[in-house]
Amino acid sequence: MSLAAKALTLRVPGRTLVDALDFEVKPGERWAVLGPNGAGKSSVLAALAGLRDPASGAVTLAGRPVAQYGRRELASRVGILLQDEPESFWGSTLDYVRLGALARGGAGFAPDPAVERDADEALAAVDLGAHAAQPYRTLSGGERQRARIAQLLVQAPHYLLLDEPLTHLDLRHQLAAIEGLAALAGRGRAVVMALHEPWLAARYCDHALLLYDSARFSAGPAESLLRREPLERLYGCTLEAFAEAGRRLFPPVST
Amino acid sequence: MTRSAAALAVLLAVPLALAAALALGSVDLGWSRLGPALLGGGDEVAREIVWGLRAPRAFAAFASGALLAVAGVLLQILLRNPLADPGVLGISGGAAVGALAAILAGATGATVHAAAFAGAAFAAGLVILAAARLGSVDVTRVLLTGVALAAIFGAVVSLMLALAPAMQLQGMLFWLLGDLSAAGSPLPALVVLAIVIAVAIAIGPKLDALALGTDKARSLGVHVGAVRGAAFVAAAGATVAAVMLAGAIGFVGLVVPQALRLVGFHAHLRLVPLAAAAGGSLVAVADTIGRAAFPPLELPVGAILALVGAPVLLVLLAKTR
Repeated sequence: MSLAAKALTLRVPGRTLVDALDFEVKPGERWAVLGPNGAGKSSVLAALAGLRDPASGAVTLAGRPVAQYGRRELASRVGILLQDEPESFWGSTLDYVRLGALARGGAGFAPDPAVERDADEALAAVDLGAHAAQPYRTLSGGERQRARIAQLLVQAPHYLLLDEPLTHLDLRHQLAAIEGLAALAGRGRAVVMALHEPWLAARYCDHALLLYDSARFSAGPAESLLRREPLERLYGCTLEAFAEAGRRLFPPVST
Repeated sequence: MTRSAAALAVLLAVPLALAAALALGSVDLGWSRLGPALLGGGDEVAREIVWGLRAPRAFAAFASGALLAVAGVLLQILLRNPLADPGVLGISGGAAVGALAAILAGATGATVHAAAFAGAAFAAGLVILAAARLGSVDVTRVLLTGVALAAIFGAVVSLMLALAPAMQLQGMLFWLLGDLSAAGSPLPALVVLAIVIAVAIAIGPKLDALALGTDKARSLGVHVGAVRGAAFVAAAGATVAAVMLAGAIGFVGLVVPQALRLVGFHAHLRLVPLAAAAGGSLVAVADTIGRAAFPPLELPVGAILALVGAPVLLVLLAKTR
């Protein structure tokens, strides 16, 4: 079973975002999606989640196009953290996180103990246990982002697609979040993250998808793609490359 | 006041409002005749007044208020607009055109209801067709379609009022303000109410998820188109059933859901039944006041509603954050 883009072409009016994209995510893999603004990172993730119709090609899950799955069926397999969400949710942080269990039908009058336990665990995992009863809309930006990650943890799909999961997070929570997400892959899940920091990708991901401005792409093992030359081409700026204790850093030098 | 106390108060209001509607009216029966009549005994006249005249009207008032409040809840989440009410889809407008045309032609009673139903169903059909054609995504366009229809119906209503002979004018005005005096059997409306509440509760958690946006709701497993469609048809059906029974009662559909949200009820599983209870009780009480305040005169229920309900909303606005 794998989640794959097959000759996937995505267009927005007047522009082709990606052209004939082919790559395959297998259980246990950690993918970083890197690229400049507007290269199509969010659109590729949305297409993988079955939220955007391709201009041509397809996204398949276990060989079957995602468009053929029912929403509920798909939600137990593929989940996504979107970059933007309307901030109009009215309930508590716990109410918000619990909605992750919607596909399981765990949202009736009587609380489902399994869902309650998962929600508590997820809130603890993102360090929001003390904020469970707080109205979601009064959370800070970073806390809200962590609540959204917690909701995805409650949904517990096989494939977790995350569009800039570390936005608004402070340094400690960035580290905690990405370590937690990377650890999920060790338990047979797959994680696909759109990131802006090549060093985070290099440290936590084993595969990379580079999306260039020109609708071209490279996909493959992280060690061959997360290097100075491909990254300089990707971002259009000069980088330095350091390797220390097996960790690779790419400080920008100039544009 | 905690939320559970508020919920209890709203639910308790239902039997109290219905009891008041049975006990009070233009004829003062006095406790000695009222008590036995309420229990199904006593003298025949009292029993006929309580169960033959007041009860159908009390249940009609309750049903129309409950239907309008639930329709308001559904439309507000559907159109993502807190100011949406059953009037915005043009359905009450369509019912008004039908009913007023019938009154103008000299019809009364059941014919007026049938004409109101025809007008409401026609308007609802147009809006649902427009929504289906536009796809469920473009909420603004659906809303504007309803607004345009409502404007057309409003214009027709104004023309009919201007051209109406004095004799029919009062009946027409009463219909426009909400009029339960000619309400027929409340049974069909109560059946519609039960169905609409069941549908709304069945899709309740999914309606909650719609607040997170279309894409997020989809990714959580919600078939957004189907849920929106069900909510839309339920809201339209509720509005049609309410306006054909009681005329164009305003205010309930807009204010009851908002008042409950101010008190802290948001999850649709709870908001929907509470809105039905609060909206139904409110209209039943308003209609009772309208009947009992200045007998034999009857005051229009819509006006009483606003006089009773608007201050409640103002107090809630002042007391809550």
